[in-house]
Amino acid sequence: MFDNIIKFFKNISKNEKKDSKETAKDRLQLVLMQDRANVSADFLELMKQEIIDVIKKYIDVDENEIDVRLTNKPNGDGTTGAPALFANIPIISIKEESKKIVADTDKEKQEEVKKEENKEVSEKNSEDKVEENEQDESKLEENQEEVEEKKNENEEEEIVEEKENKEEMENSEEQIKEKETKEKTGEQDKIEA
Amino acid sequence: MGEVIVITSGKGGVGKTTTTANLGSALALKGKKVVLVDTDIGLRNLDVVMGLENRIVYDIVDVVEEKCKLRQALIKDKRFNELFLLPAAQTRDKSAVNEEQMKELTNKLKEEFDYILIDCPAGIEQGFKNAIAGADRAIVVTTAEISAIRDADRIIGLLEASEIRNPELIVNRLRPNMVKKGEMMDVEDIVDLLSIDLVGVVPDDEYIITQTNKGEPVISNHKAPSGKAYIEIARRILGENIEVSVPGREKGFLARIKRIFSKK
Repeated sequence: MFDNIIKFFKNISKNEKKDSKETAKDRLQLVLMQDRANVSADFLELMKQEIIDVIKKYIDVDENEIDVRLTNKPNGDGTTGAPALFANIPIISIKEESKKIVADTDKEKQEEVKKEENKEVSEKNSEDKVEENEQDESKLEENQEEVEEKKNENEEEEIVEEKENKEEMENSEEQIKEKETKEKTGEQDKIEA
Repeated sequence: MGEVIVITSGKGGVGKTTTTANLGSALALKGKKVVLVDTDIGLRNLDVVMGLENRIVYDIVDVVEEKCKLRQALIKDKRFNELFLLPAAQTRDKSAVNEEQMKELTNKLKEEFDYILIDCPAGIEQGFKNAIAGADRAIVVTTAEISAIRDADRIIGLLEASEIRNPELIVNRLRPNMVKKGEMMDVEDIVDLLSIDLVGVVPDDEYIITQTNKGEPVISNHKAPSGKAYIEIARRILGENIEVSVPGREKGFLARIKRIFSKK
């Protein structure tokens, strides 16, 4: 009870430091976000479901205990802060398959390096062939066509691999973000406790 | 062909009727043919703000129910060159008119007037739907208070859903002293939150009360700061590209630079 009295007096002096208009702005930002999210029906539900789907690839979670919401992040001094998305996601276990996904990404990177080297080699070969067959024009044309076909194939393979790598990177970025929000909620719990 | 502008807000009491009356009068002063339409059926006030309450014979419901011709219901304001009022009915409610009828009405008015200003009632129900039915443009009025801004945001969402392109904002009843002390949100904060174009800022002004008491628009009193603001907004509506003057703030390039350096 003593703690509450002390907090009360602290809050009086601290709230005066923050302009009332700043508080109004923060509250409004959150309220407007919530209103807009509720109006576009189930916006929060859809987002929550997609986040859960991504996380399930890496970690086993307790879906019934997941809590995702928009709220004001309280500042250190107890005043209302900026709006934030909170996600509290209890973990059951880290999946074995997640370790396999990491290994696969490494493999793909090695393969891409090899294919680039092959491309350089085939380009060199085609140049040599052109020099050897300067007098025979029809042969020249055939070789040039071959070179172009090889180049196109390699380019297509590279594009597909680039896309796959981008997806992997995005997934790991989300993973990092989820860890950060979890750490923050973890810290909060410690402060409150 | 005239332009139909609906003046709306969501929240009640922020200044829609006052804005309609004064903007309409200012446009008429500039030589335009203007009609003010009160769609707040059952709670009419545009007539009393304009001081024309004793001249009402027919109203908008009579026109829609074809009990009279449109021309018979229009009240000519003798103080201005070409300013007319179509009053609302007081003994009916907002279900007396529907969106189709409103569109028909505004189409007829467009043939005769340069500007048709529609005073929208508070709320998001049938009154609001009627008011926006025939509108080409919308002006959203808000004050610097949380509840007004929240309701304005909702209204903006509804306007955009109904395909009224580019609603514009008027911040009304601004108190520059409170803004300086950090006790009232300033215009930039509000524009950031609502994300629509600003068309004007009107200061809180006691002259509004005294002029309304007399049934005179505030622009008729040259001492009234709010009157000057309304005239400036009318000029902007007519296409003049003037900088929005915020009450309590110096205008001009040098003043803007000063403000950038003094911001925290």
